[in-house]
Amino acid sequence: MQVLILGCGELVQHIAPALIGESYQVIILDEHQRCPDPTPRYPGAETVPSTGVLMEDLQRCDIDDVDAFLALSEDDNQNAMAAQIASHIFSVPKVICHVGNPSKYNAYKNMGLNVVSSTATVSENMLLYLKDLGCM
Amino acid sequence: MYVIVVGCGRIGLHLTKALLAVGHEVTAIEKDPVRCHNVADELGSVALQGDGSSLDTLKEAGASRAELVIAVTDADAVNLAVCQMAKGMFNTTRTMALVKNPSHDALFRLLGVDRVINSTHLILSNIEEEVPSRALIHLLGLQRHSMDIVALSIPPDAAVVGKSVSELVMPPNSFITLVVKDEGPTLPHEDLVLHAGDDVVAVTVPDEEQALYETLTGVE
Repeated sequence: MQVLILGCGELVQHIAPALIGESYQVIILDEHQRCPDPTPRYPGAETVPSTGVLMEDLQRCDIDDVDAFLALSEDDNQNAMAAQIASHIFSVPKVICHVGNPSKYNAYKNMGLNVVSSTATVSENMLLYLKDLGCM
Repeated sequence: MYVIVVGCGRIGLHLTKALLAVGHEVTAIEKDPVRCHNVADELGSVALQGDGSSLDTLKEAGASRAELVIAVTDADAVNLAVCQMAKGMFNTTRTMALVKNPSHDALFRLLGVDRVINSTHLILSNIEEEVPSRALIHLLGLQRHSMDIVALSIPPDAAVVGKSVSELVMPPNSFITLVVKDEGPTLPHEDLVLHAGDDVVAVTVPDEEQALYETLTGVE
């Protein structure tokens, strides 16, 4: 399985090694190429400098052959655009888009994207936890 | 008409002024506080500071009653998000976006942006008009059908000189719609013979532009 990941924040730093551990072939698109020394950290992962929204960049990464595209950069708009390119233009079978701003979650969901929001998930968990502790 | 302009760079600012001047109600959203302050100094309460792609800001601007939302920030991804949020969450009647990268043109239309303004394309067509020889000039894009209306001048050494319109082998989806001769414009009826210096207006699709150009200007 081949996975293309956009972004290089904490989310990616956590998920990339996990995928590599499961023997996925991982390519990381990083706009600023600030991935912390990708070779030793993610052995087997290739890092490509790209914003993820340029079709030529995506073609260079053989996006036609990838099984999944994860848009996990810190910029919601960039993630949404890259995810829509991956799904509508290149017909990538599995596309997941991260949005930090939870209010955009429904908007993109309505457009048919698979959306995750760490902010929403963390907030929900926090509230459940507080309820468990009897604070609410 | 109520119009929301997102992005107050040079284009956004001029656009806002032009819309106000013809009597439209405008809100101009700008993320950068300094830039927004400058707009407010010049145009008053028209300016709203915030991220135009966020639902909170669009709500504050009254996107649900806007008949037109125009996204002219310098980032294509932001412009797409603004239009999609306006359309998807506030049912804005029409959306318009500026794209910098020409390859995003079709994508934006596919994703529901009503009107896509391609800045590279516009500048290119202006340059083409200024370049004297053998240029294919883009006159107009028929957005809904992904077709272009183009014009070119028949060069003296072209293989089509002396041929009639019925003898031309045109590329698919390409048609000559008008021929302008020294005597004046004429419709391209089958017996019309093309001469050097004739200006030809044609409809074509982006993929066939090069083929059309070669058909009409190519040397045998």
